[in-house]
Amino acid sequence: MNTQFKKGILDLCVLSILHNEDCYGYDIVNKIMNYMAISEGSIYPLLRRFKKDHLVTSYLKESIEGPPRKYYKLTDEGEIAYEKLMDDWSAFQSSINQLITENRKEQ
Amino acid sequence: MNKEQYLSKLNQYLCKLPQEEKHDIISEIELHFTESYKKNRTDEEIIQGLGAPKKLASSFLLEYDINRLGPNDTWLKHLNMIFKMIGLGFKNLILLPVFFAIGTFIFSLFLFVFCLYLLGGLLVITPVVKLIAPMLVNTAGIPIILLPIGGVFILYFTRNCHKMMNLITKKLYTFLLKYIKVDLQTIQNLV
Repeated sequence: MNTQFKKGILDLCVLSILHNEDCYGYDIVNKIMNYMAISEGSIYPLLRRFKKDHLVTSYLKESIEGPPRKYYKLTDEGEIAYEKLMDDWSAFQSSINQLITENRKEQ
Repeated sequence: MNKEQYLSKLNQYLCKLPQEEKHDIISEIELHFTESYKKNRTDEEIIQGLGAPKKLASSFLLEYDINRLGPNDTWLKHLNMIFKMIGLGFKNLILLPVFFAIGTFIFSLFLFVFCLYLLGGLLVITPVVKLIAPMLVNTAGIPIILLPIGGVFILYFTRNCHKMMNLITKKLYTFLLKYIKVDLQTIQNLV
């Protein structure tokens, strides 16, 4: 079981979003906020770490509404990390579900 | 707090980082503000969402953890770290005997204080001893009354020295603990 899981949950969310499509920082924050309450500031350090570990790259894209936006994109390594984290998550989910169902039976 | 104040505080807390990194982070957070304004959010709301500038800065500093070695780091960085560790070892090789010498010196000062207490005490009880066993006491011409007075002064003086010694020792001890902590932290970070 991945013991770093609590820390990894946000990682998984961000990787999953970027796996789907390239996004800019604020967009990622909003997408996650639709599903859970997080500190908005927590996403940016995470993205920086991903960039440093070569899991994502960034590029600027002109936007009609104002200054150019910084878009993030998964690299090949990022895709691999995403797949691995997805596997870890499934394994984690099924273990926990198993534990819960077993304990429910005993009653 | 408004956006400018927030960003300037953030800039302050990020001072440890190289200029380029710091600039990068600040401009990204500024972008966050800009995007938020499009949704008609106020500075207050945005800042509440981001969290206190110090906390945000520390989460950046954590992720950036400069000293930690990663698998992607160049061999040169690894070599650098090895030299740092060797350096740490040598530094302590020299500094530890110095710390030990200081400790010994402090200890001898305490012994000296103890002797002064003894002296003061003896002077104070001299008149009494003179009454009980006059042969033991030789005042060498000094009026007997001065001795206990001198003794009291010495005791008072010694007491103050003692207090000061305690204070100094405590400070040195705290410093030593901090020093050890810093070294342990450095080793932890390097590894």
